[in-house]
Amino acid sequence: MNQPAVVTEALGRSFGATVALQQVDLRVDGGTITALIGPNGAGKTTLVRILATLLRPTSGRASVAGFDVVSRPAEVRRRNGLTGQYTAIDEDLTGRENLVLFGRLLGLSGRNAGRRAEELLSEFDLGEAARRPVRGYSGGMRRRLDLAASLIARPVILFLDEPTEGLDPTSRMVLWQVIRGYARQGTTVLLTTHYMEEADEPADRVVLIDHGRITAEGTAEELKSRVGGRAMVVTLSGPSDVDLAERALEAGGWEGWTATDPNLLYVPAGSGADLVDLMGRLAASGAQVENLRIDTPSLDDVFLAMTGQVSSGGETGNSLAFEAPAGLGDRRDRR
Amino acid sequence: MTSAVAVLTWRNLRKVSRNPMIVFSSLIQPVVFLVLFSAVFRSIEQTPGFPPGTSYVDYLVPAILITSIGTSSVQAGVGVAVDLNTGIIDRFRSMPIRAEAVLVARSLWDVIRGMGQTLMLVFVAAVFLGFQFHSSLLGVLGVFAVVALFGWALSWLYIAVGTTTRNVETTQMAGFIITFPFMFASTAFVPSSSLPGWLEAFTTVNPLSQAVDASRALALGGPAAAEVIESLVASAALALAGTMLALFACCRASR
Repeated sequence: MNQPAVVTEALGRSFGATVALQQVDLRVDGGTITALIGPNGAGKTTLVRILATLLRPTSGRASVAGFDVVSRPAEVRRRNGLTGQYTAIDEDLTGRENLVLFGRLLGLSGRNAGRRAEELLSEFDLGEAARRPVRGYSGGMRRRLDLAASLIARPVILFLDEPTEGLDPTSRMVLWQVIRGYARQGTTVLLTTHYMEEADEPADRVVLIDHGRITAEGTAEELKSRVGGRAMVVTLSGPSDVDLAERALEAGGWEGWTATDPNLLYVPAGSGADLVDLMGRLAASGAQVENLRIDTPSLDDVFLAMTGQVSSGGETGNSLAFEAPAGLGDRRDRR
Repeated sequence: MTSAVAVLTWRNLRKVSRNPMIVFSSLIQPVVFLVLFSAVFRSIEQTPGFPPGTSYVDYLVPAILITSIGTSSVQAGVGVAVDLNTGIIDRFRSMPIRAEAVLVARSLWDVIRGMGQTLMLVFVAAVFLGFQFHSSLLGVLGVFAVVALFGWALSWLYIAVGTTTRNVETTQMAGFIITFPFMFASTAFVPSSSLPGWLEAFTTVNPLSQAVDASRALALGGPAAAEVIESLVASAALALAGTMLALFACCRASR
């Protein structure tokens, strides 16, 4: 159970002059769900493809279920299941035929492949469509079939690259139910996602990747506490009030706060005393306050804070390739 | 490897059974050629250099079999290019099977499909145009063997194109560009003696022409050993070149 399912050491991959992944040291314990989050182009897919033996690393080492991905790819392939970003099923075949095809390729007999196909079809609620060509499936049905195909051999480790991308909430729920079920039975799950709530809720560990490096990892709670716990979000009446408030905070020597458009002030808070202090300062500054609320940080905040840090660290100017959460608008760092 | 190839060949069979029109539509061109050419070029029977006492249909059919499998083998490359453009190739590659199995299965399937097409063409020619073989059963089987080997060799060439370009349109275009000059600069429709000198010289190194000569010699009876050996060597060379290219492209792409 606690034997590591994935271990990488100083793993790196370049495509020509482009460095997609560098110095990645990752450890995923057996039987856990780990979420890789990061902006587009951060290297999540590259990492998953290396672990699934689809891509060779250009530096460092990686092993899956104890087998090196470069020297023992066949052993790794016997133990993993992969659901990539693009559905990997045959459009001309029926759902059942797809599962039988992959089952046979995994070495099951015709009879066992058929039985396993039936099991999976009912598990993923595809029984009715089983004998129709995939060409006529909806996006959600395709994704479910795709995931079912990755689970035929009951893999020790399951790689999911944005498994719920473009799915409606119901399809997403079905997918998560099944994934959790397999995880409970001991399957290790490594997934990449854009949806913070997906990393937040089911994942035991969250790994943040940016510019090809791991920038943070831990449980969702640990990461949230690292961005400073709760925050106060102040809505001011107008731009002039924002200026007044900013001057008041600067005068008080406060750090880590940001002004966001339009007319929002985002102030991470360490203790209750800060709240009282903040209200006093705002009142004294004469800034018109319309609203004040206390935000509990989400993984979105972690994400923004962490990728923002890399950016202000001066590596490149562009790290907020990710959509900001609704309502917070464009957040500028004022450190 | 063997069982993976068998399963993947089954996959291609199922795919075609979903779209049976593909098989029939690929018969249209050869049937049109067969009917038109047998009418248009009939007078060639009278030209010097044409085997005496032979009807033009009997002369033409072996060539149609070769050109038709030549045109349809491009489908192998197209199929591989399609697979490479969807995620399915990643699933195959993340499985404990050899990536080469996908290509081998594809080439084998196209031979099977091509031979089905060949049988239908022979049937159409025999029933509607009075075509007949003038050789022993061994000779007839020899014709099918030459056609099959030529089609298999060419399918590897197109698989190489498909794996290299990973593009359906380019592969189709390559099929067109390769097929037509080799088809018409050959002995497929007229005897080599009626061709200008430089073209006649080209036919001796044109593998399509060599396959036509071999299958024609076998179908018409009489001595065929030299033509058959020449064609087998040419097809084998083509298959080897195509296989090497395809495997190189496939393995390069996999890393």
